[in-house]
Amino acid sequence: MKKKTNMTSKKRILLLLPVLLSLLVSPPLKASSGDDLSQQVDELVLRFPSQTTAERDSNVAELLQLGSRGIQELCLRLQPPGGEDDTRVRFALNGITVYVKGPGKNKERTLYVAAVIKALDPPRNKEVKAFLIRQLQLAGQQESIQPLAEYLGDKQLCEPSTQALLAIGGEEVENAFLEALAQGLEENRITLIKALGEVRSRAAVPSLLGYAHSSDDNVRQVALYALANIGDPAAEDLLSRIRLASTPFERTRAPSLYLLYAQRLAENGNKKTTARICHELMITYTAPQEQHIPCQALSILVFSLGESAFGDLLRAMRSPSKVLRIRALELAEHFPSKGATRLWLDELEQADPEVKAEIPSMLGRRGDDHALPAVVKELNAEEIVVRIAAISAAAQLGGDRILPDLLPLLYTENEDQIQTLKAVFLGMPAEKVVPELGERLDLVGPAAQVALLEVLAERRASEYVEKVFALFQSENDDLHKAAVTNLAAFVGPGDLPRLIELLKSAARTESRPLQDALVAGANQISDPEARAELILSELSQASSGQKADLIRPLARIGGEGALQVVVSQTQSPDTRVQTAAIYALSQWPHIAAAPELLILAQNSNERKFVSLALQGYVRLAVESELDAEEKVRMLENTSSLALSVTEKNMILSGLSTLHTKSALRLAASYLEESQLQERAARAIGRIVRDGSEEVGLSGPEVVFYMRRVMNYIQDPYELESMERYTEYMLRDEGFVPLFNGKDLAGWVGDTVGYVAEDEKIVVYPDQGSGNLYTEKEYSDFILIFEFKLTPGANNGLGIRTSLDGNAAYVGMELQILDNSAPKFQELEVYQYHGSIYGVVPAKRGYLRPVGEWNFQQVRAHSRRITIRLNGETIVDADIDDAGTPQTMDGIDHPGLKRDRGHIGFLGHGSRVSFRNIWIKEIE
Amino acid sequence: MQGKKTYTRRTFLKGAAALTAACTIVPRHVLGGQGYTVPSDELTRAVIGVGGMGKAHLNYEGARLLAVCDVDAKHLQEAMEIGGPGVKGYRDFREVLQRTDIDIVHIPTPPHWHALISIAAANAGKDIWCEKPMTRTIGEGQKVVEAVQKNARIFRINTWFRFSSRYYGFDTTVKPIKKVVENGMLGWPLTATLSGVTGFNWKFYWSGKTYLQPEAVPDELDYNMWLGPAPHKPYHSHRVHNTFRGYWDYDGGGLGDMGMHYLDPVQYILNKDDTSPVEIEADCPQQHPDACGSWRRIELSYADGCKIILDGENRDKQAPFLSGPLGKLYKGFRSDIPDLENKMALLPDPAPQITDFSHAVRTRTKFALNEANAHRSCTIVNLAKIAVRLGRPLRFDPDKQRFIDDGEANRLIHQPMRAPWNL
Repeated sequence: MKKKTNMTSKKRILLLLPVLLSLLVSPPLKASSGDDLSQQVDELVLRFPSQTTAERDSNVAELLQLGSRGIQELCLRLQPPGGEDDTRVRFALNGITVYVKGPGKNKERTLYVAAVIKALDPPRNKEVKAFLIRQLQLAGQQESIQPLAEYLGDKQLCEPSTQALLAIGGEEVENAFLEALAQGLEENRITLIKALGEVRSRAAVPSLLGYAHSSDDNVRQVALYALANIGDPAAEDLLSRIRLASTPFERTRAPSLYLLYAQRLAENGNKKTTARICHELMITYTAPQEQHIPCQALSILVFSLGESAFGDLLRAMRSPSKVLRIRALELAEHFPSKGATRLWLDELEQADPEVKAEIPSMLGRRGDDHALPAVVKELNAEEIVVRIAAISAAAQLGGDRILPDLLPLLYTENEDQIQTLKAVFLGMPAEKVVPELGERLDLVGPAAQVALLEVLAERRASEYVEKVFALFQSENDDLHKAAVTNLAAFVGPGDLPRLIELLKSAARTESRPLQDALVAGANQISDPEARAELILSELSQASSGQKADLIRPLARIGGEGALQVVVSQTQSPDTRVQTAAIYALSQWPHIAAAPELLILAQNSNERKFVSLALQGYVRLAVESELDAEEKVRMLENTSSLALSVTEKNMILSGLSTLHTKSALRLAASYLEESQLQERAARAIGRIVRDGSEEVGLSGPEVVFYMRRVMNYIQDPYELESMERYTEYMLRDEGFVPLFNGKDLAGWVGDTVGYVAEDEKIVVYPDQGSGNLYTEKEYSDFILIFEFKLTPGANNGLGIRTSLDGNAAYVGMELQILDNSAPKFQELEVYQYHGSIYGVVPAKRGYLRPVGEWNFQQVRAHSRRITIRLNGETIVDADIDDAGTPQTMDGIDHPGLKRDRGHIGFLGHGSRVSFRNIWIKEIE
Repeated sequence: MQGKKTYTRRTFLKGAAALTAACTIVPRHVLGGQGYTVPSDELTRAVIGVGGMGKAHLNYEGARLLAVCDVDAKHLQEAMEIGGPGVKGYRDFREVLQRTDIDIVHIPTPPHWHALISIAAANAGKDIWCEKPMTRTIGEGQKVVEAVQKNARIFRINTWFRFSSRYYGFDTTVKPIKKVVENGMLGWPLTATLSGVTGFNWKFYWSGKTYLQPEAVPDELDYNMWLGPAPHKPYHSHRVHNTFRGYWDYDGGGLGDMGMHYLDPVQYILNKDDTSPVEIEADCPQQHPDACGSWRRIELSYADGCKIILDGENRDKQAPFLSGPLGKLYKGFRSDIPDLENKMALLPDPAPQITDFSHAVRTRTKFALNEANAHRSCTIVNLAKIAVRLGRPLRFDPDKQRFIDDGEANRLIHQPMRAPWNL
């Protein structure tokens, strides 16, 4: 069945798995001749994997209609590892496994599982059986238990069958494990012991007690776990002593096992023992690094005993161990009753300061409103740590209701308290908080003033702008600085004159925040052209330094008028002004500035100006609304400039966001420079991968770039992902590999002189100099491959040729040659690399230096042959025209008339390597 | 093109630093008493799994590196060289856990080991910094939560977008997004779309190979230990090290790789830290039982109507990142809500988060991304994996953490481990 593809669609749906197309190279598994059922199975198998759920379901349904015999026949096609490729069979079987557990499919499930069980019966490769067992792990139920149990004694299959049995569960499974364990085989012991533990088998306890003393670490490990998980009283003595046991890891693990045991005891109704064990461990483990044990014990006490564990919780909350106290509080959160809240509040009253600080946080998280009054009371506690905890907790419980209680706390110098209050205020609705804070802004101490200022700024409380200007005048350094920094959040257009005055007389360090304020005020003017007016009119009277400060913010204000002024100032004789203007121009947000920036970059004498201008230009190109091609053209404009490495890197960064072939080409041009290679390679990788959705960013040319750049990528992780991506791209385009990377399957001819090694086909001239041909014939196709020459190398690519005879004449030979070799300097034009030998000469000069990999693409479409070498078209010819009235070499080339034939590598006694050979047949 | 970008990183950042500082304040003179480190004492750590990602963990700050562990002798050697003379090397993680002088363990092993080592570490009294995804199965995640909480351990996952860093398609952190949502500006319920259009790349190239010819195990690798709880399958280099992501036995393809990075912030934004989706449906090609493949679309719906769409085909070129009855938010913080930036200035901020892990360890405070909420966001990933593997719609009970009327799906929640390993 011809494989349905959507390769021609523009959508890049990356669906395909490698196997599908490799099967074109290796033939499908052969059906036994003459068997009708077998043939049906063969046909159905070819439909897998399915591309949609609906397809899968219908394909599976057809398989199931073949009945039990059909399923068994299918199972027969499973291959052991190292055998033939049975991927489709595994897809088919797993497809059934998933299908039959869907709703309403019980009849099908029964049939399927019975067939799988039958298929399990005869001797077969263990891994194949494991695969079948794993299907039962998903689809099997009661009926599978006995058949699976038969494998419990098998060394390799014990584990998969145990896993399947555990998935099925039930008493019968437990009995199967018990029986198997009783057989006393060593190889499956740990699997079975663990399984009995997982099913909590009481009946296993007597033998487990014996295994717990085994000299084998693994046996002991699983036996102890099993005994703990089962929770039978008989195991208590043993488990209580395991921390004295042999391996250090067992000692580390012992208390947790013991506590697991305690938990299970409680679940089985034995709560008194649980309590005893937990209390014992809480007393025994007192070292700082062991505090997790009392926490565990307390947790189990609470889970098992519920409210009867209150006393333990309270005691734990008074423990000198902070870790335990906090755990106790976490557990306390989950007692919903009001009575519990009452207890914590009592505790809160009596507690030490450290503990007092921990309780409110818990109460806050608990969310019980009744705790609020007590928490609010702690707002006035003496200890800072308690106050801070109370602030956050009160806010959590009371929201903005408690604002009046918090406000008095602002009258403090304590930085921690202030910061805590600030965070709380920021979490409250603006309309409640802003008036209260604004009112107090000039009443509180300076540390708090800074915090209030920041909150009001965050909330854009512009009604307090006058107060902020007042604080600007403050003698307190911190306050003054806070006012300057946050001014921008408060000002409006009416404040512009004032701001300009301040800016003109500002200290160096304040210039920037004042510019920010200027920008904030100006941008509130609705007409974009009017925004810069006031500033521009000030410019004429301003001094040199002032001018610079006034020009800088223009980039953030914008407007045609401002742009013109800035452009003219880039020519200012005053360096300060000029620098500010160029800087502003480089920051300009509108594409209108781009032409000026380019001119500046081209004409300026100062390196730093060129760099600034270029930065701005590149940024504008990339961020603008233009389409990708236009952006690339803009970037191409910079090629005439002499750029530094940093600047070129900038351009590469910009290019990496543009997903077009032109961007690829431009980025690829940087590959020639060693300092830029890795960056260029990564940019290309990014363009290709991020542009995977773009139509046009696919196909052999893109693959060519990817392959080229993979030579420059060091990181194996990155390389692997690029490799996989390239493979996906090709398959999605409809290409299939001609060479599987491992052996010469699919190739005939001189398989001695041509060797598959390291994912390449290498010609060993001393072993043979014949030809290697594809088994298949092709007529119209696109072939891509890479080749590497040695000095003086001479080989050839035969297309549309027969398996014997001289391919150059019975088919066509596309020359493969080291053009640079001294002995080849006097050849005919039609003998050089890429030429259709004797018929069409190729353009020369596009081979990589000898020893580097070259990428070639051959497109044979009816009478037209097009060859591209390393991105350049070197042959584009109509072979009928080229052969009329006669060929260039005057010799008869009957092969030109052929419309199909083999593809081959034509040895002429040289060492050449080939790799990544893919082909796409075209209509 | 939808509305202009209304929110810039700069406007947001001003207040951020101050907030973080506030919520982590605990006065120095308070910290004392039994059972934890005084701030001036240095914290110590071990890194278990020092292959690809593990090497990055060697350089993390905040605690002194004392030990490294790996089942590959070459990786171990390299890590010891990077670590220097003070760092000891181990082949068995259990020996690392026995050391009483190690406070924190990092777990950058492949995901099939995460739960086992996390639980063993918790039971040994260690705090934990585990790689994403948190666990390979939902059942494992539940057990990790239990062990970490019972032992009162501090736990974090190695994803951080819910509390810091520029979040994928946005120039800002997640905080302003959370603020917009929490204050109802988009209405309720919301739909979140994660696709290339909204700034998320699903990395489908993390697919497994379906036909692996057995290879000889390299001398330096203890393959049996590398497999650990996973079923034994013949060795092939593609199963391990850089490419384990392609196999269900160890991880879950692109979903496993990026799922938590992308989805944990979404869970936080939608305020779903304590629950899970109730309906899951996947549109995908049939999956191989061993090798992960790609998928086209996965939809997860919550009980209150919130929805998460994972769009692997970038089908909707105009998709907003978040969409609600009152408004939409697009990649780059563009929105159809007019004057959003000014409106946001008036809104209260989300609750502050604890974002300094060392500080959390010292004060025994739950970290911003801890075992409980990480388990929930990892569950989103694991639900998606199961939906893809079964290819049929599923219904999930978020409180019982079980599927409704689908026994096969439930068999993928608790998957047995290979002896002698168990949770």
